[in-house]
Amino acid sequence: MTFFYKNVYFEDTATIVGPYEKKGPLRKYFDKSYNDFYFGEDSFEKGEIKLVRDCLILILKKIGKKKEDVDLVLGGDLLNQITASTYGCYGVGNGFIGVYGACSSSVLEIIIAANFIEHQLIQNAICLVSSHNLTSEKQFRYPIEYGALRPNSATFTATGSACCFLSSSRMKVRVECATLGRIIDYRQDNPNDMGRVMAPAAIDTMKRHFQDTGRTPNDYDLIVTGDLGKYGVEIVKDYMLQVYQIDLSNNYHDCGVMLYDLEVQKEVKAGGSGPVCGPLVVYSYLFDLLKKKQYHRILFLATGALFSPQLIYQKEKINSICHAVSLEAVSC
Amino acid sequence: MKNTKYERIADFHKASEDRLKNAVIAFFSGGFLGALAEGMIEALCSWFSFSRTISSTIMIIFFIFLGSLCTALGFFDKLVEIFKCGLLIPITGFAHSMTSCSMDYRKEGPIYGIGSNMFKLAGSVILYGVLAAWFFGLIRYLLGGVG
Repeated sequence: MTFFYKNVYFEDTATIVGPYEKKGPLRKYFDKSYNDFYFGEDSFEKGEIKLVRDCLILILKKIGKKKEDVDLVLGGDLLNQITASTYGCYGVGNGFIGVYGACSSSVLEIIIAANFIEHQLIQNAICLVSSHNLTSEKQFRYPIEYGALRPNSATFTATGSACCFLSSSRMKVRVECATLGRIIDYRQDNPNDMGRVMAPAAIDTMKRHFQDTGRTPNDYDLIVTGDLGKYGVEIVKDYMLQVYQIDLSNNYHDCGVMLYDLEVQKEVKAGGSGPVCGPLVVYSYLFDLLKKKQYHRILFLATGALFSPQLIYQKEKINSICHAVSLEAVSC
Repeated sequence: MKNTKYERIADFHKASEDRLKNAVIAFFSGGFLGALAEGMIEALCSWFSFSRTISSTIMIIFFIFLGSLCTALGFFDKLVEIFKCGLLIPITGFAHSMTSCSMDYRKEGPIYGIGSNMFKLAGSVILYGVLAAWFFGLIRYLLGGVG
């Protein structure tokens, strides 16, 4: 299902990162960074809430608006009951929608907000996502300090918070169209190889996007997936070429690979992951390139793995989902 | 239904793991830790004239303390990255699992946090350790091995 928009613009973005992302190659594009995982709070969960609050304060400052000027706030994260968003977004905006799409939340939020704005139900919206490496470790994997050995296919949950301010007033970057993903089950069961789990969803949404729009990869300056990691990227490229004869070799990349320097930051293994991984790259570096018109149109596919540790132990498979949004540079 | 075409492509791009290297490192690091512990028992026996049972107990307490301390100071997981499972299989790994669980949940308080989560990883080891001990004790009894 693909929606086209005429009046939805990316007014501004804000990104805050943790210590590992700060050492990555995109460091100069982030608005704010921290050196530790507590962010001045006494627990990691509270630290993530602080990240969300900080990000909201930052975006409001950048666009020069007050808390009550915002029509809608959409928040998503990985904590149980998406509490980082629900606690962190308190007091901002006239309406709140909590979104859970695992690591695909960011684009799902943009699609929801864009539909509201396009139909003039609201004037503007903030779409915010956050994730925290250590709260995710604790929730999905092993205790934080536990030295569980991670295989090379494992990805590293990015720490940070990223948001974008969408509005109906004309700006340099617009949300051009979006494809809503569907739940994909390819009978994958390895939580340590998320690239392999989520690649089928990216393939499905990408193929349907090209089908619905009648476009080819060459219509985009860049196609980026959210957090497939270096092995997932190869799977997508190979599968698209072999099965659908779509060549992605020229302009396809992955935010999880772009966010870190995989040669130097060995601890991230196959690359970054988490809801914030894609937005940290798209809302900072790629948004910058779009504003400068170095890129004219990009396709951002946020991929998410839909699972819980309980269901993995109950021998269930991991489903995945991917939503796509096309961002375009316009003259204002 | 598995998509065989997908499985084939995904298998082709699978991350490689150097299992042999990891096993060799674990063999030597674990062996070194064991030798160190044995040396400690011998030293305690000869320097302080403790019995072997007492020396073993002191040695175990010492390594549990060491494992917990390194975990609390935050570098046990980094040591595991280097020395692999050689540090996780001995008693240091057991101590490490309990300390790391307790540290994770310390903010939830002594009852709902530390108390109820401390054995999250170690619980299985204790339960099946006790069961296995009972089972092998039974076999030994049936074979008439108990004096």
